[in-house]
Amino acid sequence: MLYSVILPTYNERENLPIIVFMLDQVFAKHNLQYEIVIVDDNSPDGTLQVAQTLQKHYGKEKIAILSRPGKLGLGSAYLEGLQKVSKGQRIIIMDADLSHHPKYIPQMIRIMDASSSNHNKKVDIVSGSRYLLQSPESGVCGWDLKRKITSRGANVLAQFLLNPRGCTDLTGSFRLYERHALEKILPRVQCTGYAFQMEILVLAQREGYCIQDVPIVFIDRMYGESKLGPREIVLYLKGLLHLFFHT
Amino acid sequence: MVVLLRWQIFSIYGVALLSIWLAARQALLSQSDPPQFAARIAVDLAPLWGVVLLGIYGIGSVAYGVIALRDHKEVSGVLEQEVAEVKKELQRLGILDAYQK
Repeated sequence: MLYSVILPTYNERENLPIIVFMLDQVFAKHNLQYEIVIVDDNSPDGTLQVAQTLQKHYGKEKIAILSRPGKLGLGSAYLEGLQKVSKGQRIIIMDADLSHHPKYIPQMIRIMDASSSNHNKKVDIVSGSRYLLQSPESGVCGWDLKRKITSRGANVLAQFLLNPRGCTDLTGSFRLYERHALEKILPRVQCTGYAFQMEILVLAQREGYCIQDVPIVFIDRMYGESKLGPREIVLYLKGLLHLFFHT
Repeated sequence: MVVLLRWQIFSIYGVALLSIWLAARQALLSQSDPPQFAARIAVDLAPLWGVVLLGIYGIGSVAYGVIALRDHKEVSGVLEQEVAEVKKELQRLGILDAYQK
């Protein structure tokens, strides 16, 4: 079983070698075959050169690179990485900026493997959740009160309007997918921004795919920089309304 | 099996609640004795009470979620330590030097 980790990058020169090293360690420790698909959108900081250096060290079988001419969006980065480059039967989507720690991957795989023998409850998507409030392993690091209120407010609104049974973190972006599930859903996703991740899960549920949450801690390392401005909030609300009327 | 969209499900609930409200108002007005002021307030303004209750539930859910959301402050320090160790290893392997030249 080959695991493909799709890593969209933009200005990740510093973090990329670290996340690749950590991923390699985790997969090697658990004796798992993997490839990392780096999708770089012409980062001005030289992320592509870093990726090429990593490819020379780890080999082309483990590091695949897709270089794009500019910032073309996260959705298309995932789609192109999936369709044009990745070969794995299972796909891991995560952030390259170390907000998602690779140590959670083996647990995600265990959940998916354990469900494989049970045809009634085969898990097709394992989603890392910051909001499994009953679990001590779930949560965040580096969020102030305003961020927590915004995030929880968005989540409560989405839960009320969309009722995604069993999914506690709709906007999370650390997930393990069976390849066939992602191949079917990803081309249909229309939302952008935070609603993009939400639409994947909602469409997956509507298609009958089984989703299970696993607790993770999200580490926000962008100290003092806000990734949640008015534009992102408006995009999110528009996406939420789109899903309310179309799913 | 027909799969309803979310707005359709909300619409069905909305129509059902509206029907119950209109029936309750009708029942109140068709009583032989004039209805008491409290009963009129309760029934006539039922949609408003519904919105208020929904708002309280929403605010309560957000408040609970914020309070219960675990803040793992210590993880940041642990990660930075791990990053420092990884950088040393990358240096040893010559990876950091290769692209910093």
